[in-house]
Amino acid sequence: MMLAGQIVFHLILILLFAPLLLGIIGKTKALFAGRYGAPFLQPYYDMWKLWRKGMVISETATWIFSTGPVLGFFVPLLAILFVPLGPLAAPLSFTGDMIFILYLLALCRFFTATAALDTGSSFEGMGAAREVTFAALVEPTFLFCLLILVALAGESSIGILFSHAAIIEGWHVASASLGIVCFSLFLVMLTESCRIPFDDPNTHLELTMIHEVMVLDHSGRSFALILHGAAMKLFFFGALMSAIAFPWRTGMLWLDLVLFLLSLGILAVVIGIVESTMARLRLIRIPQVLIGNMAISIVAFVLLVR
Amino acid sequence: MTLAALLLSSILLAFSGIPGVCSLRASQVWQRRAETASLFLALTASAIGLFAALAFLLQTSAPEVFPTPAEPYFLLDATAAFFLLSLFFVGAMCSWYGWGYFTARTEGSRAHLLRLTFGIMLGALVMVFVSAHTIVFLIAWEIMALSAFFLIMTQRHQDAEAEKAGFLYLIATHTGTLGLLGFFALLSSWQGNLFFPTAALDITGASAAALLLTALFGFGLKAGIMPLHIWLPSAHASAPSHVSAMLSGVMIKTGIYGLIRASDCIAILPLWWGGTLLLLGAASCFFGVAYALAQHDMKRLLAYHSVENIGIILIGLALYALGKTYNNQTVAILGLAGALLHVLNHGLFKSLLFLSAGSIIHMGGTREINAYGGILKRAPWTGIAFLGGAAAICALPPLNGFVSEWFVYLSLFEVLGQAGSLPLPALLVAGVLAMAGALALACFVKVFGTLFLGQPRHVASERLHDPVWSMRLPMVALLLACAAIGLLPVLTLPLLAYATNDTTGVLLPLNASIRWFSITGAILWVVVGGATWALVRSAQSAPKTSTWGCGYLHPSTRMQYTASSFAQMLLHLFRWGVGFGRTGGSVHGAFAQPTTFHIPPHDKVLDRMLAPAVERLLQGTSLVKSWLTQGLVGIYLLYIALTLAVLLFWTLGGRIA
Repeated sequence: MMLAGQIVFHLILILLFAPLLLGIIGKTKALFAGRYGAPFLQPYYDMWKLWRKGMVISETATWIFSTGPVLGFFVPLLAILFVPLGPLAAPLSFTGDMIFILYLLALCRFFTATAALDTGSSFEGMGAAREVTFAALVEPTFLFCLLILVALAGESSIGILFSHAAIIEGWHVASASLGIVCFSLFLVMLTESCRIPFDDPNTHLELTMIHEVMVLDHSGRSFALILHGAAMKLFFFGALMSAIAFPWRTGMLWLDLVLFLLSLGILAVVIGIVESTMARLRLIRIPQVLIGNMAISIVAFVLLVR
Repeated sequence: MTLAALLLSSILLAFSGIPGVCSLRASQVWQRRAETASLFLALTASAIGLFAALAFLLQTSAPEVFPTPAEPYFLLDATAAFFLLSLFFVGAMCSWYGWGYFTARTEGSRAHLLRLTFGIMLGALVMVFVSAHTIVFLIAWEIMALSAFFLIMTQRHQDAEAEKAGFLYLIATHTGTLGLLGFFALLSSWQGNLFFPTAALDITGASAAALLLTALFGFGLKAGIMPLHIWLPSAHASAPSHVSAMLSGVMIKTGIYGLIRASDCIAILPLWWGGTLLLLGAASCFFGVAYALAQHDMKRLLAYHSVENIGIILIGLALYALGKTYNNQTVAILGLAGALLHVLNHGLFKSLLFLSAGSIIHMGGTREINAYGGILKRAPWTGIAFLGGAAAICALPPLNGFVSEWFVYLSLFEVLGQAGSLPLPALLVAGVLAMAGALALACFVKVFGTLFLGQPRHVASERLHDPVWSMRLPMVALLLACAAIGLLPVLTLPLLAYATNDTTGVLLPLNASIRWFSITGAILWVVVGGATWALVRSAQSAPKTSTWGCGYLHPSTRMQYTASSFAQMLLHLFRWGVGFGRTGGSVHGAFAQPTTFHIPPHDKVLDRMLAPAVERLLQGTSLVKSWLTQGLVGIYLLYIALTLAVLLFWTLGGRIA
């Protein structure tokens, strides 16, 4: 029953706090723009409004159209059960579960992209094409970052790789590699959560459309699931980053938990700063940046095994 | 006992097409009955063989030989039994599908000849896996290769490319057989007899290199390793769909079987062997999927994906070889387990994909992806079959493709922890695997989206319907097999432990991890399935409109994204490796005429390297010949006289001196 309690607590944390990250990012951007900005809890109000609204479905759509939002919602929920959240250890863990998580995210992407092609709209087709292109360039980088941790720790379970003991040991032994991993993982987080400089989460214009346009035809409950799912994916990557970048513990559970949420907030602020100070890259530059990121993570591994 | 059952099933399969051929002159009713009799024979033989192989693996019986241990012409061991599993199941499903797909009523007498040749190919395939004598193996190999040639040429009257594809395949397979002859000649000269070695031989240095390289050339050509894959795309595209399923699902795995046997022949594998296999595997993986992205013929696309999956299997084999070189049992066993399981999984989901592609071609008559659209609404069974196959080939949990790739990744993780120069190549190969997986995902989102979703493009909506039940049920069976292995991979662990000769107990401790696949798989199926069903229910009561077109009220089917547009961004990135030809597209004059623009993807190895090289060689030799003979008859006669004189002096000179 301890396990069930841990699982429930993990799920409550991600379900409750994930949209807050979006609110913090919005407030940061508003601060830079000299506005008051939307309230911190605006994403919650948006999801509540959307949940009560009706849907309008295209005539061309099939049942595939509904699989995208559902998988976008449930995959981060399943994935977070394998990730330690601050002082809380990962409830589920087995050898080689990092590969399972990687391909679980691929499952989510497969159905999101396929659902995007379901309406026969060229907007969504374009967004899906760009999304799968960038995903192909980001997957190896994410794997390389995880493999550096595997080479350090000798285990292949995310719960053990990102545990406090392993990360502290890693910082002592190979701080250069872990620093580069931090940077690479940050870029991976920006790409997978569709943030600037890879995608513009604000607009639905053709020029900046990657993730936002894949979900163009969803409305009502589907769209609420998609919003929440995107926030939870950001929370998932944020948890991974926070485990590496903020490896300090005080020893008291509740204080460490508050510190963990604070670190996620700081990450959200950093993302907001990046979004406010940069524009989205030109589309032909994005693959170059992603391949450069891949090269950087390979360099980090070479530093490790040298 | 098991071996006798397998030989019986091989003979039954080889003769399963006879009823059809006997009924060539009979009425339609009797021809149909003959076809049913053929199907019954083939299914019985496959069932006998499947149960025999499964029983052999589950009971972990000792290897069987026939007729005597001193002269083992036939040998059944665990590795062969594992290959036979996929052979019998996939063969049975393809025969069942062919009963409804390629009938005498629609295709005439060619259907009976196809069934006969198909049965012969299946019988020869069984022989290849159980033979342990060089001559028996080569005879079975040649029968298999030649029957595949006739099967590929079946539709040469309708499809102009089928003849070219058949001849290219014939040239490739016979070149491979040449390599095999060299391999077996070297092996038997070392051994002194013509039987397969029962224990690993102590060969090193140049002899080992010659042995391994001839084996790589011969078996690699059959397996379709890049750059020896040139025959694969056109051959698998031109054959009838259930034949392509068999070729892609089982026949190319004979090359992998041969490579495993060749690696086992040598006691101490050199380091360069594992390194070469790793490099070739990574190259096949990456370029296979990159070329697949460029195709818009659905069966060529699936054929290139076979090249990609052979690359994954080869990576597993390379890790097995590297593990044996470094005496690291974990790496070796995990790599071989991944390779063997992927052989089984690939046979299942690739044949599923080819059978559903066959259903689509049955509906629409063309293999062009961009001609279809919106099939899922009108033919849901075909759609679900293809979706299952696509999810399995992209290695998505909770289906079976994920489990075999997981084994290969685990083996790579073990290599990462080693000292020396291996970790960096292992990291790069893992990256290539991940990238190929993501590219395969892009490719299948493209194919599934273009074929099944949206509005119908060129093939009218009325023609799109599900095939008859005899064609649907094999697809459902294959999909259930994929889902079963993905949901309950614990069932495969004991089979793999026996097939890889896992004496040190590497695989069975993984049981603790593998049962998590079952748990998460069950959660995914139940929770996600239930939530999707609920959302679909609420979507059914929602108002329907036409797709939002940015204010444009009449979206046409031409405004949809096509497969070529979807892949364009990725192909632009890979333009250094994937080439396109370009014809037409230029418009002249003020009142221009309609024109066409065609960008056919070509295979860099075949069209840019091999074909021009062969042409230059032909030009060179004909230049030399024309210089030598100058076209005058007198010079020919002079050469004949000179040769005779030389031969005379050579033979008589020995007598005189």
